[in-house]
Amino acid sequence: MRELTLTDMDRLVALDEAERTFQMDEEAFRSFYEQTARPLWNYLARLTCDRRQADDLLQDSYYRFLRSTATFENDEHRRRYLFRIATNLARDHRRRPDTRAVVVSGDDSDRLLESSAGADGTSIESRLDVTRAMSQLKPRERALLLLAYVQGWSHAEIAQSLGLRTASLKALLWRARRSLITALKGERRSGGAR
Amino acid sequence: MRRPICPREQEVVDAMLPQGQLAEASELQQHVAGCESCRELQEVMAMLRPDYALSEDVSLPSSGQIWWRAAVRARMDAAKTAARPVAWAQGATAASLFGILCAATVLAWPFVRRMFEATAGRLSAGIDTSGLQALPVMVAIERSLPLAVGVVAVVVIAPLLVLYFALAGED
Repeated sequence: MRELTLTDMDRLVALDEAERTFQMDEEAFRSFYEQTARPLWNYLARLTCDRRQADDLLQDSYYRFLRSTATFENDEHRRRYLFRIATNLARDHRRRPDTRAVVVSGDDSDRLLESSAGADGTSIESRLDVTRAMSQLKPRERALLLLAYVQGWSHAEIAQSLGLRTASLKALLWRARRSLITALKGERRSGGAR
Repeated sequence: MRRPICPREQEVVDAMLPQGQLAEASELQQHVAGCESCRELQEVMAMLRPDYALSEDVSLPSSGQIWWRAAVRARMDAAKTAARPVAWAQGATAASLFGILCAATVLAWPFVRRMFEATAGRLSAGIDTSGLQALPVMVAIERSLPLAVGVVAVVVIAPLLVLYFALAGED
């Protein structure tokens, strides 16, 4: 109903309070952020097929992480927890009625590829095909492939993060792989026809 | 469909993750060459691999900006949480007042009606020649009285509500 706003003084107080309410201090956060921000953004951009959404979800993921009361054994544990938050946020975002039918658009996928295409010798067309093929997969399949083959998570970690059974993960990963290859073949066929 | 899942898949994943490719002439590479499942896995990993370079040119916010925004948001969330009981109390008060107003109207209605009838009777008695025409007019007025009370209530209450919400929005 009413929009709450903060005065400059409130903002300064907020920074003081942050030290008390957040789960790490600013110095520790800086180091953690430098290690995790780019991989997390990569993951979110691929998961959502949308750069702007990835930007928003990045901010949101760190906020939720800072506000969490969980205790961590080490940085790796912390990192996985952050990715888990990001995965859940992306899933929740997708479930919202206004974002349900989002598929990667030509413009967005082009921009998504600008920075990566050519850097490793792959052509823009080839990368575009992969991006489009990825966007055709189910969100869970995208998450599975990215967590397993880009982030290098173990099956147990992925299962825990996505709420799946570890025993079924191999089969799910295999299906996701097949889906990607099938979608990619379709993209290349339609690309050839174009 | 047949699922040729190789037990050495995790080995392939672990070997490919750091560099994005397998070591030349390694035993694992020879295995992958002859294993359909691992070859497919290698192909998929090679496709996804450029993701590592994806955000190199993307300008991400600094950690300070993220920290600052998070701190401000935390503060706003705290303010919202603190304001929630006040909003509930205001809502409850408004609902109670409305209930009291309705109850008072119902209780006072017979009295208002009697007063109106008495006034109408006096007016009818005072106008001897036009009594026959005046009577249906008075009945019509009497019947439309609840509607008139309702309209007056809306006219009085609506501006107050609009004023309340307009001022609340400026806080």
